[in-house]
Amino acid sequence: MIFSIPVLPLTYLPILLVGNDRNVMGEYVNGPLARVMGWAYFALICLLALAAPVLFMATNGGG
Amino acid sequence: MKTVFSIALGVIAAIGGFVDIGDLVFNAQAGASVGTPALWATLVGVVGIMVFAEMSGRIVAVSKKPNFVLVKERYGRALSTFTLAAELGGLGFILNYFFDVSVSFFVLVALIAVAAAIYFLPFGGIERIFGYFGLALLVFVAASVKLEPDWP
Repeated sequence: MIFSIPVLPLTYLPILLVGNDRNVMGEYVNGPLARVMGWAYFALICLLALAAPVLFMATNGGG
Repeated sequence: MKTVFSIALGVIAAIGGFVDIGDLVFNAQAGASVGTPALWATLVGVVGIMVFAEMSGRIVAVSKKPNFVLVKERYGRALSTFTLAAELGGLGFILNYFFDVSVSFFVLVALIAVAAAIYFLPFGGIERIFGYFGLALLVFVAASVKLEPDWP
């Protein structure tokens, strides 16, 4: 599970960008709520992606 | 009637896809090791996956293509190859936990399995089959009754 965290932003960002893209999504483009929440969570997972390996090392693999 | 059935199947597959095995295994593990003080993190995570799943589902519904294909079309091969490599690496690690041969051997197994799934199954099939596999996690409901854990 720990290994999946650092790659999460890479999976998440393209989806977010497509969702925000009116050319692809037309009338179903992300609304204000989806946009704000989308970017907020992107910031959070970026933070986690950076923190996870550091914490993993610092705690000797969570033990 | 056929529409009703396909909607019902869609709902089942969506439940299987949304509540995945990681939620159950790793939440239980985290709960066992750190207890309830970290419970708030589950709430943060659930809201996060709701944001992501809603967006992801809406994109697939509009584009009628798997998200992965769409990403490749729009952002090039490099990004999707990197993401795929990372996912295969993860799968390899997990399979190695179960069978303990070597991580690189199971990365190869994961690659073959994923390639076979993509080659042989149509998009709808991939969606449904993996959704139904997700339902296997109902075993946790049975286990949590049967094993009579010491509920707090």
